[in-house]
Amino acid sequence: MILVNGRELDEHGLRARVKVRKEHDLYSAQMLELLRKDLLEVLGEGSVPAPAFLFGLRRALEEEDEERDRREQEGNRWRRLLLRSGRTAEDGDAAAEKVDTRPGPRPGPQEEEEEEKPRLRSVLAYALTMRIVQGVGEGYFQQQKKFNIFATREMEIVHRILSSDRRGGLPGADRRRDLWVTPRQEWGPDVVEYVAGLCGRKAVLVGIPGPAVVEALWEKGRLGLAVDVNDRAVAEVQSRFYPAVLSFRPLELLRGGQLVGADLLVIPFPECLRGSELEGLIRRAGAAMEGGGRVLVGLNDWSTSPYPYESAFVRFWPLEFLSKLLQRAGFAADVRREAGERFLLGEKR
Amino acid sequence: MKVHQIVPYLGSGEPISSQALAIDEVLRSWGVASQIYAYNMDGFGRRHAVYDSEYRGVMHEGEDDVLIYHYALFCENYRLFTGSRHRKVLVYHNITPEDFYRDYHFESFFLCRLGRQYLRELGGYDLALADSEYNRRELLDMGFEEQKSAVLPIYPPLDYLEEAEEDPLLARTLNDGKTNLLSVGRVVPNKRIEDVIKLFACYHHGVNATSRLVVAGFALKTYYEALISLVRRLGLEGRVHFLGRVSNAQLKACYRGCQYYISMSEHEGFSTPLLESFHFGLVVLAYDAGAVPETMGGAGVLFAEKDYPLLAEFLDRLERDTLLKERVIAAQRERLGDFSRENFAGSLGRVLAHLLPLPEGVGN
Repeated sequence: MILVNGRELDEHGLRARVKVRKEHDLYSAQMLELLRKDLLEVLGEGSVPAPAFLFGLRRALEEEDEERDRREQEGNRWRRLLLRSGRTAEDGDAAAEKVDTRPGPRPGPQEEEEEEKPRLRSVLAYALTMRIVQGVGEGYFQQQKKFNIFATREMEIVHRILSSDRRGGLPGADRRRDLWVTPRQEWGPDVVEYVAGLCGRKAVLVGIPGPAVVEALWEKGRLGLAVDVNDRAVAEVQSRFYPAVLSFRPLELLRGGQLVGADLLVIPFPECLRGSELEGLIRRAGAAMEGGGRVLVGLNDWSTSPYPYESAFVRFWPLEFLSKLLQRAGFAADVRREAGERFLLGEKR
Repeated sequence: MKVHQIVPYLGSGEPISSQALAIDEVLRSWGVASQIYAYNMDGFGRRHAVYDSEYRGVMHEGEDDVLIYHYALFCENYRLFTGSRHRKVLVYHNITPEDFYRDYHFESFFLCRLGRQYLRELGGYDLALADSEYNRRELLDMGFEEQKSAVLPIYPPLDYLEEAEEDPLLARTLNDGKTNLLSVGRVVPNKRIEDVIKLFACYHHGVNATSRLVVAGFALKTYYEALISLVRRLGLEGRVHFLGRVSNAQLKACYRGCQYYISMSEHEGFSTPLLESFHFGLVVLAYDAGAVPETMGGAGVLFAEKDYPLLAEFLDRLERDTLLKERVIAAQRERLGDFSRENFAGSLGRVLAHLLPLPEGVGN
């Protein structure tokens, strides 16, 4: 019972809307299941038995020790080489900092991050050890339920420090994404019809060019997933009682197997995704559509865009780059024009 | 004749501190000498109070003096109350039942248990006050005498928020067109923040993706970590913001930048954030538990069942139905009038009338 200013509210209309949303899959079964559970129960599902945790931790610490020994030995070898050439270790370090003369390609940001990880692992190992000592002292290891609460902190540390997506999780980055994607064009009915016609079984939309395309696919029973990094686009679909998901990491969302059984992946706004995300999405689609399928990528460009994009936030990827991505995933790429919109269609037979 | 007040802690914007300061101010306006003592205090508190050890020197003097002892958690200074020769008034602000902390924090579990145990031992009182009828009932259940008990509602501390400058950065972040839901107060198990998150999950995933949840207040570490896990499981990262302990400026920005205040608390002795939300024009949606219905007094939105999809739908209706929203806000404003300074002074006069010689006309 809901009381508004002390008066009972007639809930019939609200309940009818809830029913429609449930029928239209706006609330996933997994979410509804989580809503029913107690917080401690939810935690219990995600955590490991206390002895297994301790055993795993001990093994991780031993591996960490071995790794440190190996690195020290490598460091000594490098120093020995420097000394043999008549230079001191300090000279060598300073020189290495200034000019990297090692043969081969220079480390990219990804590799630099990899180099950063051993140091982070040491910190993590130390933090974990201290926490374990404290956890035993506070009685968290004596009872599995209490241990579950304790363990979430460790999971949190592991996730934040070692996860490769840790930068994407920052609220600042999310806000910036909102800026990237706010002004976007919606697809007209002809384009919607064309896209819906491309799908024979199941379609996955990464980017929502208006609610009409979601509606068309849903009504035909072919909507696998509609995900966007823009909350306004998702809210627009929700307001019409069709399912859409807001996710700042769409690639991560697709790890759950949503592409299995799909024969169409639509990326209407590739400029709103990072290069690595595009590559990952198309590669996954290539693997999931072994038996045949299509990838439809929107070809939007700066000159035809009616909106004043800020060049720093939106990257209009060159056609060659997008074609190469499709070809590498086993799709034959071809440029199409439908009702005034340009697309790159990747087909696999 | 003098009135002495002892509080466990005196700090800015803290409800018990505000209650003590309001009593102090009203008493002084009646020409009654008053002094506040605190077990602990911050910089703000030091301007208004002295440490409770100083009460030891006066506790056996002036038998006409009155001691008002504020009790909200187990604090060593209860001995000052039991050992005092003054006439004694106990003000009970409620203690959370220890079971809420059983799985999360041993220390709080034992402190709450001790707090309730020692409450029964605070005998020899002349008057037992509670800041809500709900709290008074708890006192009676614990064996306090009905004829020596009364309700003295809290005087909501709004001045400190009015005086504060809004935090510009937080204000800019919150005023970006999204629908903002707010929860204020300590992030502890009895507040059921997980239920607030569940409601938000329904609203965000099913109804309106252009939304965020702001949780402002000091968080109990283990409970907070459990909540973070839930947020991740529900796919709400980046949309649920735990601000931790906030400054007055940040709190004001929260109240100004959010549209809805959500309370899922299952144990409230009196909830000041509800009144602060009334003041700043947020629509309050609160679960019917503890002293919440009494505090809301028939204004705002009260629900007896935590049906998250239904409540999410109702939030949507409020977003679309401006008239309904305005009616709720108007009723809340009206209710806030019951907590005016005049009403508070009147209540204080009535409950203290037989203990203090008050000016003519006060306490009728």
